[in-house]
Amino acid sequence: MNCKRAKENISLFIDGQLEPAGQARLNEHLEICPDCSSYLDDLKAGLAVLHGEGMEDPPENFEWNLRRKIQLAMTQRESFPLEDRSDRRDLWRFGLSAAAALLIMLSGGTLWYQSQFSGQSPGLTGTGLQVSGEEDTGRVGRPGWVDPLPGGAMPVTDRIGGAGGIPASEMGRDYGRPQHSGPADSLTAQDLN
Amino acid sequence: MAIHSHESLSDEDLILQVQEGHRQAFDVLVGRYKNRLYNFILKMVRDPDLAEEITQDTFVRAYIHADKYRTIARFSTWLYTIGLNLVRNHMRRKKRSPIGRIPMVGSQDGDKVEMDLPDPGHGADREVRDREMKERVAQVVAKIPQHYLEPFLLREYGDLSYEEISAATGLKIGTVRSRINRARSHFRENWVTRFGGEADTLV
Repeated sequence: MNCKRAKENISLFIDGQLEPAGQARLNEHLEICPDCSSYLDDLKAGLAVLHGEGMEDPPENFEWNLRRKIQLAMTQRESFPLEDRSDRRDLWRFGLSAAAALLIMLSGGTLWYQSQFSGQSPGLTGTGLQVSGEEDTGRVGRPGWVDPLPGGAMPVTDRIGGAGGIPASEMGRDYGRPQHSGPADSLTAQDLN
Repeated sequence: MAIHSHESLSDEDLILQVQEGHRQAFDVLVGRYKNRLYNFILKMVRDPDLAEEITQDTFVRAYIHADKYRTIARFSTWLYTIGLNLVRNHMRRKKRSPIGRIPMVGSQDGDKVEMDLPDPGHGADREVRDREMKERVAQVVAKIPQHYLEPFLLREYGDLSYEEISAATGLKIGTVRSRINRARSHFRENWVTRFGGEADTLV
């Protein structure tokens, strides 16, 4: 055993993590190596002081101050229940719902605008998501988009990209979760959400 | 339940009592852990006022969130993990703050650390000698590189196992083992440098 390994084993030995065979090898090394032997003695002496005389006492009024802090924290907790984590989660949910609603409204407004002015401006035809030079297929998405729900399973996206777009009278209706209209065995997780 | 009847309970039984609303059970836990937790935090932040504040915050959080404690972990591991996270939060804030970069007495940033100690010639009384000893130990620990310090102090003051230290710090067990070994090597070296020939007579 070399000295580097011996010092690693000394640390394990102090923590009671060295198995008996390892301890025997360490003892053999310590008998012939004064450096490692004194390393162990110094370390044990230092750690004993660290745990004994070297320990600082907390301030005298520590526990009194702690009680006061706990009382204050409990009062605040009762006065401001939103500090509770579950309430924070509710707040997050509300925020996310509000953001989603806003997004839907903005998207609806954009699509209505497109439907009203399609044909007047090349930049506003169809879904507005076409890559330049691509034919408008009437689908939302990138070129090569594959409808995940064949058989007319995405009526909303079919309609919004059509020649006339969504009639103003239908704005706000059917514009949300895709409605399933295909065969029952083609139901996907999306339909069940 | 009176405090004396709580004294015989294990930490885990006590925190379960706290969950049931027995505040006095928490007082017993504070009595058991305040010294070691305070020393752990003090050696990390090296500022007595801040150490007191963080130690108290650790207990406050443990009390308020006692219902989150699960018996899959020892209470001590749970408590030290809370303390460690608060210390880490403080360190992160300190790094961002320019004032936090001023090296403190005994920090490893200042190579030459002057010991502001009482004159040993007048240190006949025990109180002065004790103070001197505490200061020196603090300086020995302060010279250990920061990244070795967490596992070392969790082991020495928290008495956490390697597995528990690994869970608290997010380090692999092999890394924990190696860092504790290296921290001890620094500790021993600094110890001999500071105490020299006195070391044998001190313990």
